Amino acid sequence: MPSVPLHPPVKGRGGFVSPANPLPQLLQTPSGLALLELQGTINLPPINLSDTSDEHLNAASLETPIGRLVFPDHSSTNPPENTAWMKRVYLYVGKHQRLTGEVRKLPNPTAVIRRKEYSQGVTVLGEAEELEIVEIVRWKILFSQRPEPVGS
Amino acid sequence: MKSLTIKSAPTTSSVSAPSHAVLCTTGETFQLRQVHSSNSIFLIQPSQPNDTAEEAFRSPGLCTIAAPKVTLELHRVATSSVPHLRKLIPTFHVQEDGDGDFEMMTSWPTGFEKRSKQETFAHVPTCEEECERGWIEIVAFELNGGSMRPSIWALLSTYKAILSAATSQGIQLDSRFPVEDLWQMIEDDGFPRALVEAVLARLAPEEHITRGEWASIDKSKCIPWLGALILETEQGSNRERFASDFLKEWKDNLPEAWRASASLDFIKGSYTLKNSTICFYRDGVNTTSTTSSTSTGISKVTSGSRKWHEKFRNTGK
Repeated sequence: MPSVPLHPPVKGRGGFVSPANPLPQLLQTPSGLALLELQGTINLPPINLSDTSDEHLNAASLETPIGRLVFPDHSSTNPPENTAWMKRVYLYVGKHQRLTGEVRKLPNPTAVIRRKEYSQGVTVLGEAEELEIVEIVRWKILFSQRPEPVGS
Repeated sequence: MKSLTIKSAPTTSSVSAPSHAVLCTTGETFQLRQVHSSNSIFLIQPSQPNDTAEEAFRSPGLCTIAAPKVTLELHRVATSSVPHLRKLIPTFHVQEDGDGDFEMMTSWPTGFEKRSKQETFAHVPTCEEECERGWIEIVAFELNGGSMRPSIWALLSTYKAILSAATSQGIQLDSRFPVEDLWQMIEDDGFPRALVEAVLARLAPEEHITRGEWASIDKSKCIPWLGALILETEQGSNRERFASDFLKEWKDNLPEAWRASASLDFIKGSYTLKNSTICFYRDGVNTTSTTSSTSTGISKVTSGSRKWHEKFRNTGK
């Protein structure tokens, strides 16, 4: 290492076609990346690869549905200065658990960085490794309370 | 926009503190600190509705693409590049024989990797501007593709060569003069031109430090710098030296018009006076506050004065 370049975000990033972003406008970023934090861990069932035939073996089919994220007080028609909705966010996990959380401004904006990807045909000399900032995130969804049981 | 850089000192280097990785902009340095969180952090992104999924998940959803265990926090730091540069850059020696001829070091010193200025900077965990400032402060220069820094004797000889060239050419050092005029007189002594230019850069007034065809020397920088340099040549010699003799040597090596300006006040904190002999110390040498053997004299040492080069920088402004 001793010196590794870190490239700032490219203007007009998120050039890839991103699916519709279901998050409230405030949490949306050009690349679609957002941060979610919770106190605790999510236990996932082991993925059984033999269940999946090759043609379905894509990233999407390996996703494990966790639950639903709900912003009960948010409405896209609310004026942006109305921030009351940020106080309550639900994350329904599985069928019987609900986490209550909130949207919080990060004390410092957080950069999401990754190894820089080179377009094909670009030869990288030696072991030169470069990083890039993919996104700068300013908000997070934080769940700091214990899950409550809910009826299905 | 110029990109950011993440740097660290070479792992073999053991400069004072343990080395940290830093993030550098052009003018600022930030230390990177790993922060572990007991919470789970998920980086989420909108995901394509999945046709094979259960009914409830067929609408646009979100998908976790990463769960970082560690985040990095940035803390602005003001680290000097000087100790790192000193560690990385080998010393360039000049020997003076009795006849006033100089013998320059010719071979690359062993144990040092040959690195250009930019390659050297890549190994210094401070921002570009701080690297540049330190580079000038230690009068580093490039020679045959490698970086070098002059020994105190090499510095003093180069400075003296500049002074005598200026005197013989009638150059006013504090006015703007063509470097070429000066160089013609020094060339035959064999000093590397890059070294002469580095000394000129070290002593240049703040407003035009850029190297070019013209140079000038800032009197208020030059006087304390020279005083400290001469004092430094005393280091290691056990010779006792009268402060008045030291002051005379200092003045003798200044342009005639500047003589009267030299004063011990400029190098406060770099020496101790014992009776009327002067004693140099640097980087903690002779400064252990608990020793009482040297404290009989007039001690000008204060506890905060160990970073002598920073002191000079202040007085030089």
